Amino acid sequence: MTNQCYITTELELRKLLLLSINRILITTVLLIYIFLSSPAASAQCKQADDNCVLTGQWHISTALGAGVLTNPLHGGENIPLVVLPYIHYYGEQFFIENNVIGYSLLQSEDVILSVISQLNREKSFFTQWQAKHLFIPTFSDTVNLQPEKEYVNQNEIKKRKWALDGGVQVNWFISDTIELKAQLLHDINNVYQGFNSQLRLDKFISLSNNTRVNAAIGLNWQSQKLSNYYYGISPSDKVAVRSLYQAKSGSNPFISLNIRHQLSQHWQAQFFIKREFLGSHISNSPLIQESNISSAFVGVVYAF
Amino acid sequence: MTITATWQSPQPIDTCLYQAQKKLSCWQQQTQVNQKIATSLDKDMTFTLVNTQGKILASQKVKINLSQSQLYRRRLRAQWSLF
Repeated sequence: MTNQCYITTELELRKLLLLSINRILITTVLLIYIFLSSPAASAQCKQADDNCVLTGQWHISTALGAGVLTNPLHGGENIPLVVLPYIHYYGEQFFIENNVIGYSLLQSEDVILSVISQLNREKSFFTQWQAKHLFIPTFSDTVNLQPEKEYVNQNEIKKRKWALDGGVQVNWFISDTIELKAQLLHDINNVYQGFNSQLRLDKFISLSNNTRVNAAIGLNWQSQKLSNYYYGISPSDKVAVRSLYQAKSGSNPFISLNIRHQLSQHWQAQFFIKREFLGSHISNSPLIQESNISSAFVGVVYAF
Repeated sequence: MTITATWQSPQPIDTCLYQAQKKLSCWQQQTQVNQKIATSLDKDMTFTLVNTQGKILASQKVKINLSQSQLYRRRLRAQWSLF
């Protein structure tokens, strides 16, 4: 009787597994179809639109709405997204896009190679964002779902520093609606003394003249030195020896969706959501409470 | 850029070529000229051939058409991507 139950359960599990695999395969095929069913490749800009910008002009926008960037750390605070300033400027070669500054060295019809510099985001999770008390009610810290796991509160360890990254970025405009971006960066202010890189595939869809969708999938790779500087626990952190942790290099896959609807010349409705799945190199750290980082925002944007 | 100034006259004359108010070149007692002149243009401009009395003998407007790719650029970062 026990054996029969066991066999039945195993068969059901196999069916479930096959069903799951089928779903994954169908989803993958659909995603590939969506990404590949695009017009012929051409990345030339003929007018200002969502992906093209007039050179030599500063563009300043402000988003007002409600959103959050979750913090995966024990003792970390979710970062509220209420008022978001946005600035971009493109010269013939130089460009600024909010927290990124860059200079394009090579610009062909389909490929642009640039050197860039940007603030590394990891320190933001170790920062106390007092702004949340000004704008919105306090987010309650996430309940610890694994009380048995030995964890370390980020407030009890040695301070991590902000890092400024610099490196190269390649944008490959596969078609009018598909873009592949790759970047390789190294910190230039000698904080973690390592590398990080990103590979990102974007698909742009026009639902109407006024409504645009941008879906993306990608991968953030972090070197052992970066992972270990921010998420490793060393004796200098002055915590229990059993909590020491040596982080390795690893990757975090992510998906994102951005929907914009133009309301008038200056106003735009904006929605975006992103989820990044932390690799085991980070998620196994005693500092980590959540194994993913999510961000979401809904609001309106005013372009000055 | 380099422009080519070409003119001819039945009698020898003294003339100067101007790009707007800027004097580019002068010739004395010439009946014909075919000369390359280095200059720069960043907007529509009128070239004039003027004699010593200040009389405009000929003028030519040069129109500048900037290529589209210099005016617009593809954005290189995802919009509203926080990091």
